[in-house]
Amino acid sequence: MRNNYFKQLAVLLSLGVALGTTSCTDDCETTRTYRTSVPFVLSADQIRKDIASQGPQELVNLGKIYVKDNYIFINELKKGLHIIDNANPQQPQNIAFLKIPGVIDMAVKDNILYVDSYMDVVTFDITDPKNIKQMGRVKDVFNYGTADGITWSYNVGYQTVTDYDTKIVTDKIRTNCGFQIVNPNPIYYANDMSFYSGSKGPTGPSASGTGQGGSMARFTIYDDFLYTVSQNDLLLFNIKTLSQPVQEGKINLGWGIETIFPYKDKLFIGSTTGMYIFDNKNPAKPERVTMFEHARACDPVVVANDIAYVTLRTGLCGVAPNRLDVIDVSNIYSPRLLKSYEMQHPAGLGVDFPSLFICEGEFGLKSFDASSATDIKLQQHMKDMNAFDVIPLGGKHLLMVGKDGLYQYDTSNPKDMKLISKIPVKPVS
Amino acid sequence: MKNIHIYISKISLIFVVLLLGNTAIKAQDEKGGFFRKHKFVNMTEFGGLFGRIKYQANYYGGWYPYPYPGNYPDQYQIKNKVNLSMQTFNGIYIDRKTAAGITIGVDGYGETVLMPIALGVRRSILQKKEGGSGLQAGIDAGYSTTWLNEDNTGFHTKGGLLVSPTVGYRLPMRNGSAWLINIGYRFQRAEYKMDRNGNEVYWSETNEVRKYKRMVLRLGVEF
Repeated sequence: MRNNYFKQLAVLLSLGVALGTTSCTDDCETTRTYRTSVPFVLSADQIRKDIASQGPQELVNLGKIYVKDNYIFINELKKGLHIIDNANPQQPQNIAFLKIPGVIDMAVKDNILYVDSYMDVVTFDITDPKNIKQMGRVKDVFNYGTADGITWSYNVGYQTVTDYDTKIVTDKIRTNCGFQIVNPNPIYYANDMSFYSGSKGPTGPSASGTGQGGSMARFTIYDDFLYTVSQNDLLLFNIKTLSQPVQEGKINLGWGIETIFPYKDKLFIGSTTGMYIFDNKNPAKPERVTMFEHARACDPVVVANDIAYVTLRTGLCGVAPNRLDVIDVSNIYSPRLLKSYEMQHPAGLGVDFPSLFICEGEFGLKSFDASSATDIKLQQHMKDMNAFDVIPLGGKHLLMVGKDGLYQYDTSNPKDMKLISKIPVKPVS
Repeated sequence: MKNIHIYISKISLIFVVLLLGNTAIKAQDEKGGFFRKHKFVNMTEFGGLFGRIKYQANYYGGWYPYPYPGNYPDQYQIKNKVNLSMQTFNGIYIDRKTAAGITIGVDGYGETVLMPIALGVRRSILQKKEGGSGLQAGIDAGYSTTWLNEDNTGFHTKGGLLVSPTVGYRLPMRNGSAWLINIGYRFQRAEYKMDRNGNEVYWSETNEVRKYKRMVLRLGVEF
């Protein structure tokens, strides 16, 4: 009996010790993962010196595309341009890389390439794409610009550009187990995210001697003028002397300007709040005619046969519904909404009348029959790829760029488009 | 609609458990062979979970990049916490001193309500006189479900392991029932996940692993 007591006491004691050594403090740890921006500063000198014509490089983090004759220029965001020889669309050749810090936009006339390089506009001679030479430079044109949700800014006084890298951060915090709402903390960013030009607008039809722009075109060439849109201005450059543009005019447009699309003698400018129409009869002095307003959204515009196609999508530009607006612009003084169509997450679009191609981001590429504006019919939906920008080239040939590659399709039958070739993009780690 | 279905299924499951308990009692009434040999026992207790929380007070509130990383040592703030806990143990005596069964409880930790379902054992460890007061040890181990929990939009609570050893007094009443006072430790794990929010450029997501470590003090009745 006594022995039994001892045994039980031992059990009790060990229980007590076990209780004593374990703490009565809740242990809560939050692992936060977030994507954010980290600033870095570049001097203007550094940016201006850092231009080089290099050998071909793998495609990474693609931005806008531009086509001139047999060459495709693909922007690697703020790093440079990949040059693809597309003489044989079945086997496009990656032939060179032109390193330009801060490049977002481009346009070509004859053998001259116009690009932005942070605050400057730079011109290149591309007669030999493997050996591109810098020709001229217009300094201090832009004060800030946006790509992929990141806005860089230029300080003229200090001659420095502040730009941001995005990175994914993981950290751990000891929290109070949800007893007070401190967790999860909102994450604030040093960078203003309200400016965003992620939309991939379509581009103007090719005028003689100029190339065909990729979708988000903020650069376009008409006659002897290069038009560029910054966040709130339309800037005009005279390019009579091709290699040395001269800035001639600046028209304030308000805020959130995204894309520019020349059609006949008009300029269609897409902003986050609406579509501006400019009369461009005198290319040296475009005049604002009207504005067609819509909900706040990212909205590239294309125009064909006096019908404007505008896609609205939810994103950094706003929270509008995802849809396609079809607008009659035969009378530019009073554009009229004909019909709206539901979309999934439309980005860039292109029209090769009567076919209309719309990139649906992660939902793939769609081909429509747009012969009747009030009854646009879906003809084909290609899924399982990411599509953000499309350029219908002449001759039933389509160029499409997405996060995973540069695709080319044969569209002679818009109900059954055939893949001609694909250049894969190196995934961003 | 889907939520309602889940809710109904949860409620019905609770009823099934109660019904099973009920049939067990009925079976005992019928003096079935098994229950004559192994008596049914129910211990229902209410109590508190005592402990504290310790959390980073100088946390930089999400600002990134943090102005001077690493320059500030972590500072912690302490708060004492008491939360409600109740549970019911339904089991049978597998020998004269030991009862085994299923424990179902409800533990509230602020907004989070956990409903543990566990296997439990109770054993009398010290009794001087047959039918008199005695010391009793018990342990419950199982899984804390979140069936009674309701989440904020965009958040998901997940349950986890429960381990709760206790020791206490069993004070018999004349009618054959007994009062219970138990004190012990309660470990419960849960996860609180926030879905990714933000846009394609700036987004964040979090996952909080919660290990509740509390002292538990419960009062109850056995019959």
